Amino acid sequence: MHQLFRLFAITLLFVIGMYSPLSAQARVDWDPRPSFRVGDELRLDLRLKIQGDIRGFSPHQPIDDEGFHLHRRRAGIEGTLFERVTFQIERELRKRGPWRDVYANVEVVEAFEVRAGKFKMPFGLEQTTSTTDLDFVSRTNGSDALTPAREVGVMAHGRLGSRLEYETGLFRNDGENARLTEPAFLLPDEELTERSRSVAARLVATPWGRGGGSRPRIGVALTSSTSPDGLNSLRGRSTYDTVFAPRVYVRGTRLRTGLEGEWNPGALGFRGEFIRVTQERLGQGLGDVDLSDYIGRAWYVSAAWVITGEEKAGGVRPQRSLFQNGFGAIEVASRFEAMGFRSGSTDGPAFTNPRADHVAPNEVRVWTAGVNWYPNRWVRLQGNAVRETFEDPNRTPVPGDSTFWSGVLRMQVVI
Amino acid sequence: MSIRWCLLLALLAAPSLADAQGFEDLFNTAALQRLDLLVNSRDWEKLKANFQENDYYPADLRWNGQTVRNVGIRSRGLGSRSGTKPGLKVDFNRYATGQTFLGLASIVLDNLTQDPSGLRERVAMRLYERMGLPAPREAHTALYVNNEYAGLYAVVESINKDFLRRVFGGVAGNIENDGHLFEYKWTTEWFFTYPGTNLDAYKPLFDPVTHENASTAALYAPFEAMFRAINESSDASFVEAVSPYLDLPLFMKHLAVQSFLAQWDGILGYAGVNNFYLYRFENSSRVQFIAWDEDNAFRAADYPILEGYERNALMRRAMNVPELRAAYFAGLRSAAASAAEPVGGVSWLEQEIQLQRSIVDAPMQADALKPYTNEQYAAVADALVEFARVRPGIVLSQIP
Repeated sequence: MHQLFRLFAITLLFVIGMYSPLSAQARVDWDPRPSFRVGDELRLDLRLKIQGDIRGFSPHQPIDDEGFHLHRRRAGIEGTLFERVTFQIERELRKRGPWRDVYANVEVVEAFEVRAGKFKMPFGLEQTTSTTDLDFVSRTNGSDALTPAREVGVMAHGRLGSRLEYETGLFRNDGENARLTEPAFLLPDEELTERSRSVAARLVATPWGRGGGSRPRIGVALTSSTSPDGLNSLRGRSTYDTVFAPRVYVRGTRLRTGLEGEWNPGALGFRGEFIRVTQERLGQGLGDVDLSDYIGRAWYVSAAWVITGEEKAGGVRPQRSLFQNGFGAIEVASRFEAMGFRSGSTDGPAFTNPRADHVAPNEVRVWTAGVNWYPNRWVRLQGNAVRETFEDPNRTPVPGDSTFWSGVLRMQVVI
Repeated sequence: MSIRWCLLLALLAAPSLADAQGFEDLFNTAALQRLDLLVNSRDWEKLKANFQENDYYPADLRWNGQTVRNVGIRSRGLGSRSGTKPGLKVDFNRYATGQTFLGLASIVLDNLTQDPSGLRERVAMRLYERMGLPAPREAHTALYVNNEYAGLYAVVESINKDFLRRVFGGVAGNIENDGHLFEYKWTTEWFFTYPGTNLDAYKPLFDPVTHENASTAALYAPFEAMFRAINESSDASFVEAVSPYLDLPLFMKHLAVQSFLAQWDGILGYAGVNNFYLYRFENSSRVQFIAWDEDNAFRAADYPILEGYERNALMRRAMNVPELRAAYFAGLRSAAASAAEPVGGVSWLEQEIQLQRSIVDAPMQADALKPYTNEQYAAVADALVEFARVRPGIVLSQIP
């Protein structure tokens, strides 16, 4: 990743060096964010994202981040070159913080663009939406656990007419959310044969209506990769990272399928998504027999209403900011989600054994209600109440309890 | 509480009759057992490669036509850990809450790598039993992993609440197994000196097997008081100060049996105290020692009966008390008498060794994974027979 960033940074500095800041066309803009521009040929924007949370739980959950927690500190640069190349570099501002997006995108024609570097794989409506633009403090558990998120790769994408968009790419691994936790165990005379490369594709249609982002959108997506032998399945984590469905041994194809929908009529916003992941478990049983697939499944529906009347599509922008003859924008939102894991086989008793054919299932259902206040275009205050209910009371943040309440207050500043 | 309720509670608490019969069959010392483990071959290789780790792997266990599914196995032991012939702990409830087998939550498969004869542990525990001291049941077993012979092992009853229930049973309608049980963890040479007032000093020494989540004070404050009494009480008040924590005559008997067995890696061990469990009874500060891992018993027939006693703070002070000194020697005499009791023309101890040797002889010689030769096995087994013949006389001759 560091090599990729170094190459990217050197190229960027070389291009910037071609333009003297003393050039007559060069200028610095400050609205809406610090931006260096050279005519229409180069634009460099400085980006900054900060999120701070205050959390409370009932019953108490044994996590480290109770109270105030600086959730995100990200800085980055994004820009455009020759009106055809866009690029982005973003990093978490903490010690050994990971690089986030590091990519360049070339628009050959509207129907064919190429993106290369590290960026989000085209899967998951919520996952591919920045957390600073979400209606809620956190993504759903399904979006966090079952989607791939960022990966190094190359992707072709474009718009086919006014009603169809596509994205398809080849990636080095299966995404940050599916990072291997256990290196493949090799016998002395054995070589690793499986590669974990993945392919991903998404098709989004806007079959109804005219106009921009307020039209209903529906999409389908899939990814396919190969998991090497090991304790490397996806796993179920709660909103505050308690593992309620631990990893099991997998080997073979991991296939994700997703269905997504979004509609933003006026001040209203509706979203929904269904995700299913099947993972083969070839030779993973006792005595090396094949096991039934391990299946993860998640869905959610959400609704939001900007009660001050601003348009929901494209992000809420307050018509009258605080201290500028206004109060900002206020939005209320609610979401219901479910996410769980189970095995394809339900024969015989269920076990938590990671090599069981019938794995003990577990699912979490979460209801979230929230209020968002946008004092101006850069600042947002969010309040969420979250109720989590687990299917198996023995695998919860506090074994024995199955229902948990939590509250989060977030302040967000995005430049 | 009415008799009816007492009976009902006893029935609920006790293992079923079928389990009890199965338990007796599993630990039937007159026959070689056969245990089969079905594991994923990669897990078995991984367990052997990472034998120093306590990682669990799932398995099915088959014995005598019965299969218990989805048990957890892991490498175990201290000096006996092996990547060639791993010692194993088998947890029946690792992946299925409450699952038991023959009423047991777990068993140990001792790899016998510290005993060329494969007989010491099994025979030693039988003598503890004969002497009325709590000791785990054991039997020899041929272990097969994925249908391949993995060597001769001893199947050992785990020291846990099931064990406590068996050896301590019920007291006034209450099953005595909900006290605090600890496994002593050898980390460095320690001879029961006073670790100090900081309770954290006791944590690495005594690993809780029950009430693992109890507070540090609940777990270790009684130990702090006990070792303070052992080390800092005056000579005149020693018995009175220590007795609330330890049945001293019983402790002397335990040590007497261990000394008779010439165990050089036990409570009076050459490298500090080792190989025992401690059970603190319910609603009490009093503890009892429980024998564990006697692979290093039968060190030598002429092993001194007072070997190591001066290094051990508890034993040194106890031997200064005439009644306790007498109890120790009485225990040695009893052990010698029990071992020498005639059975079928030979002593009980020799008869027991010969019986077990006849059971393990073929599977031991077929065990290609044991870390010693068949000649070494035969030589040590012969030495054990000789030990049985002469040890009682030597011990009696050493008693002043």
